[in-house]
Amino acid sequence: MTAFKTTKGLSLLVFLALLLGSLLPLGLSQQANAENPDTLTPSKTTTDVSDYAEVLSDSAIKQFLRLNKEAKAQDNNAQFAIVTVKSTNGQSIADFTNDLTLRKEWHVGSSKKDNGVLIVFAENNGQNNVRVATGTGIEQTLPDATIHRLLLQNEKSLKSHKEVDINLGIFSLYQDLANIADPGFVKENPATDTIQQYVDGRDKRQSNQSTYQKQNPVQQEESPVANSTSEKSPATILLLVLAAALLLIVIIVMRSLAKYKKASPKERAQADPKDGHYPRPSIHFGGPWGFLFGWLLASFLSSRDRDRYHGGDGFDDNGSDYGHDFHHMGDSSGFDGFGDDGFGGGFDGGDFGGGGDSGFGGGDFGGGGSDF
Amino acid sequence: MTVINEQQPFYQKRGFQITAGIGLVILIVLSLFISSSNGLNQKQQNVDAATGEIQTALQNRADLIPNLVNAVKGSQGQESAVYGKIADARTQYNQAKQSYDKASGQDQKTSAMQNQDKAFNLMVSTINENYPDLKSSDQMSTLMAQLEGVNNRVTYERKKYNKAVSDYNNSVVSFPASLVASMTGHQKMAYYQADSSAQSNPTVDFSK
Repeated sequence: MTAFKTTKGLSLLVFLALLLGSLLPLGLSQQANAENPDTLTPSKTTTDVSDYAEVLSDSAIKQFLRLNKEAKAQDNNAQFAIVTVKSTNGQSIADFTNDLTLRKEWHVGSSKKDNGVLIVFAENNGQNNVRVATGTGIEQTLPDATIHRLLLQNEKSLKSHKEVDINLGIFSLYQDLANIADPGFVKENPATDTIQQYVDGRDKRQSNQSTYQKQNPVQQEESPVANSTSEKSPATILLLVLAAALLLIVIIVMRSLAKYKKASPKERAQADPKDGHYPRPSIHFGGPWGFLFGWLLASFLSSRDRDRYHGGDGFDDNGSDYGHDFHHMGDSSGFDGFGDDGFGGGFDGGDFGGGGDSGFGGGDFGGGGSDF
Repeated sequence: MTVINEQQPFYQKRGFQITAGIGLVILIVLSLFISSSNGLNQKQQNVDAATGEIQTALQNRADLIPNLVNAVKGSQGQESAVYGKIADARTQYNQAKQSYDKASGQDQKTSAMQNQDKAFNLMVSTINENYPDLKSSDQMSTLMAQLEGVNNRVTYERKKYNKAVSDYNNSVVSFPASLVASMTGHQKMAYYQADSSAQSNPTVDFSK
């Protein structure tokens, strides 16, 4: 018994440590780069405005959020979102926005109406590229030529090098777009109301954090640890689950073996007169094993999409993005075993990749819009 | 003491247990096969849907051709050779569209769409080369914005399509599903390559 405790137990511990240690780098290696369109996520505090370039004033952000809330409550024709970044790393603003809107996290607008409008601003060393991307449902109302015209209208403020002007330009662009989609919606609230912070003399860049962020202290840029837990690939999780199951099985087998050994040779040789067997181990197909087996069988026999609805009819609230996202592909993980995700029905790549529920409504984009 | 032919409940009999075990294993393998085959079919459907969307985007883009031709007609210096080239490109486009409609497999559809892409780009580059002085009037500025818009839509749908194909291909080649794939006749699909002439002329800038 003592021999069992030292050598077998030790080797088991070593094996598990190696297993877990090899999995850890997998989780930690996925760090967020704020300007990579494949990993950029909407701000955690204010989903509709992700001001990574820090050009918007607090008053602009507040006003925009308030108006957007009203728009959603009134079920307006268009739902807006703004994202600003410092640079697109050499990519054209159109390609950058394409990469963003291909991902589920940036599906602005309701999934039923596909009425999202995403305004992307990139400083790009003074070039001040702006693109407005329209969802497929709002393309008729806001065709590319109209957007181009509105961009040219606001060109002076958008291409300026002063933050105040950029702030004004973005908000005024939003007003113009909203007024075409929902005429008369933004009537009071001229864009000049949004520059209060700059007028008061508080430069946004000088303060370490904007006051709005101070009131809502959740990190805007993902830390590596937080990111790794939300973006852990299904392969990692699957391996961890398997390791745990293996450990469980090993422990149980060891214990029953120990029990068997504990029975003295006399007891072993003495068959039970009733049924001719040795004292049974305590495992049988009832209790926890039955539950596990039932769960396994259920997940084998169910198809991948048992929780999703295809083709449009889904949940309509803003938090859920099931439904119209027929083209969601999920993350192809290295563990794509039986044609799907390892067990054919349990895990879905999209559930683990970057958070399935970003807060946008799941509206579909088609690459429409205009930029300069 | 062993009793010969003692009464045992049926689930304790060795024969039953072995048969049940084998039956269970067969059931599990069968269900895995079915779910894997369903997964492959679903991914194939996704690719089909994405193909349809690209075709829509390509057609919407092609609908701008008359506008382009009119804009060229309005400018000075009408050279019949250029019109000849534009007409040739238009014919090429229509042929590609027809081969798409008649295509029987996904790969044929993909190559037909690539040809449609090539024909359109040929037309645009012909105009670009021969009318470098086409100044930006109001009409041209609108047309330019529209052209960039439709080009971007084609790019977007192409990316979506390639994502769907990559998802499907990954399933077809990874080990357990590859067995199912060969049994049910699923094969890898070709990606949609962007036309290289488009890469040299990313935006239509008539003011240059």
